Amino acid sequence: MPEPADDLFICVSLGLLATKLATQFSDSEQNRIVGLGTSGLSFARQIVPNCSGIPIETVSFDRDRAKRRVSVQPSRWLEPILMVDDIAVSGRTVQSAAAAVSPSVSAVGLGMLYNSRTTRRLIDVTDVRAACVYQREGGGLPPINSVATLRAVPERLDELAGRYFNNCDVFKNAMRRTNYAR
Amino acid sequence: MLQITTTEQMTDYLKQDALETIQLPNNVNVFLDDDQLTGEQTDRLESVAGACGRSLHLR
Repeated sequence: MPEPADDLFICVSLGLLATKLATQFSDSEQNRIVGLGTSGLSFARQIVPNCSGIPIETVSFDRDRAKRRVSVQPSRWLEPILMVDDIAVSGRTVQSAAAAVSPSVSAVGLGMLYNSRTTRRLIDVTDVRAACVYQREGGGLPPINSVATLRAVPERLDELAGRYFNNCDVFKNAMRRTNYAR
Repeated sequence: MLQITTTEQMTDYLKQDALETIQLPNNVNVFLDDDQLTGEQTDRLESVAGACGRSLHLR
């Protein structure tokens, strides 16, 4: 039986994160933004209106959670690029993607970044900036999920519901019916 | 270190220029949403939380 879960939800707008991140890169020289995967591309599109119409691209990847492996489709750009994603927990995806398109990546922008030794090492070796750095009170990893991802990837919704909600079928059905207007 | 417990506090934090690590309370789920929440979206999230027998604290 899962632990009795949340009595509190914090809903964070990706638009707010994108706006804050855009201000951090307002004086930088990247002339192309590359979003990581579907969520990263969606996040990049929210940054661009704040960055004077810079062209956006995407780089796709496959993630094997069981094997903790990320395979990134190699891509090359001639000019310096800003690579962005909405959230980085381990930093593994960002590191793999940056290596795959190196040396084009001159900076990495993240909506939310988990504060851990691993991700701090990522910050040390790359120009990484985040709109929000977070951790959990007393330690551990707070569950943060994109509503759009939960709706698009059923296995993620199953995993989250089973881990954190006692009445997981009710939660899953309600989340599936949630239809956000864009 | 900044303690965040509500969406309002998160919004205020994101409007600040300073970058600091925020602390999220235990037993909390954070949902990232694509847009600013409209009233309709808030109603729907409340119904999700209510269906699970939990309260929802937003703005």
